[in-house]
Amino acid sequence: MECIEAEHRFESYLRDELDRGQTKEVDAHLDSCRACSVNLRADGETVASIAFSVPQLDVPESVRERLFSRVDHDFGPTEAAPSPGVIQRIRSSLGRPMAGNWGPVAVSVMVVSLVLGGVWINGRLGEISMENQELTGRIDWITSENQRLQASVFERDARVQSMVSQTRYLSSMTASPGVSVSLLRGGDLWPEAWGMVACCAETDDGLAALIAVLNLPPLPEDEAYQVWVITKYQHLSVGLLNVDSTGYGQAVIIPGVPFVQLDGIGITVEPAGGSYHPTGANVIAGDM
Amino acid sequence: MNLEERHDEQLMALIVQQSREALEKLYDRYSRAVFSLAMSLLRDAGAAEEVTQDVFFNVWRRGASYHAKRGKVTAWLFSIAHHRTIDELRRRRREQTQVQHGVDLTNKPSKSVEGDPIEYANNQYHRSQLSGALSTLRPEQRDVVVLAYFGGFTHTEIAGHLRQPLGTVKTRMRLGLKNLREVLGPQAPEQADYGVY
Repeated sequence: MECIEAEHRFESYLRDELDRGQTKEVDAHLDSCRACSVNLRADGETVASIAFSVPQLDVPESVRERLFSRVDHDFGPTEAAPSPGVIQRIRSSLGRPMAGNWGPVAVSVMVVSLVLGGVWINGRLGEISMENQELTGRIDWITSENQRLQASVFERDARVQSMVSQTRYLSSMTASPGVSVSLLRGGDLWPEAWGMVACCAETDDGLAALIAVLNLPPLPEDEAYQVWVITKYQHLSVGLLNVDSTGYGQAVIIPGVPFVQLDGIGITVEPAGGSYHPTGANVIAGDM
Repeated sequence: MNLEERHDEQLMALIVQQSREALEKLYDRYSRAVFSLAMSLLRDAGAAEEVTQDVFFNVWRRGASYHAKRGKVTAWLFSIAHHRTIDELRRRRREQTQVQHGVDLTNKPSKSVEGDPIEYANNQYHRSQLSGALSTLRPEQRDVVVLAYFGGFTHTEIAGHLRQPLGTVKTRMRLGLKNLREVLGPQAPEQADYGVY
């Protein structure tokens, strides 16, 4: 480095504003150039002289108080002493009070940890809230399904009870002396359907027979099963027959003519409300 | 040996070891000059107080950056003080803030920072006892020294304003300071009372 270049850096050098590389260059030049070293010291003294040449004023005491309040609360210098060895630095750091050297670092670590911890907790709380909402939704669905299944069970239970009572009645009737039972068979439409007719019992309306069928599928709302008794000359309607979802149907029929005149009995599919004459397919029939 | 008898360099060594008492002693010796320098440039007591506080707090925290081979402690200290003051001056210039007169001095308050920088800087140095010493300098050297030390302008800004090469500005600064030093002579009390180096 030439003297002129070093001189141009004196002002910044005095203020410690040069980077490490530039400072080293100036240091090296000063070590080898006595003239520049003298000039540097002289420049610094000029700055001091300027300061003492201006009107000298008293400093308010509050400045001193504020300064030393900052000093008393300070955690330590920003620059370590120059050129200590590694081991010496370690030793000196171990010997110093914790608050002097590690306070700012410890506080910074704590603050960062608290912030990160808070962020994690917040995120986790959000996740837990979402999981809770999902679980609540699932519980609601399960409750709804449970209620639906319970209703279905009640319905089936009631149906079973009805079937049981009907079966008992049918059994009791078939077991009564003087009652004859005729079988009914399914037609081409539903060959698996079958039934029976138990005849007869005395009612207030006259002699009555009980008809029971199985495996007849439920019909749409615009259709109905209609029961006919067959004589030598005509088909007489004795009413509509409803079947449940299992295909079971039962009804008491009162023909209105003596049973000895009946040749047979059959069930057809008719429009809802029935017909005056059989119009639909014959789904089940039998002889009396 | 008590602190009163210690040289500035000995106080600095103690300050590096976190001696509050050593800093108090250094403050007692030079706070007045630091405050006065800041006040002469800023013309604002509040700002000058802040600068004074910052300078000595900087000494406390960066005491290890002082090197004896760079010069006396006063040279280092007042370089920091001057730089801090100029920083404040430039900040105000950027904010186009009018400098207020904060203490009762015989000098009149300076003009706003707007306007011609040489006129502004001249207004500053005319109010100091340096005016006589500065008047002995050659005009081109005086302009550069005044702009730098009283106007707070950087070498680059001075070069731009005077329309001179940067190297020329730096050379004139050096020569002006050298001549000024010869006129002023030793001024710091340290050299009289605390040992001459």
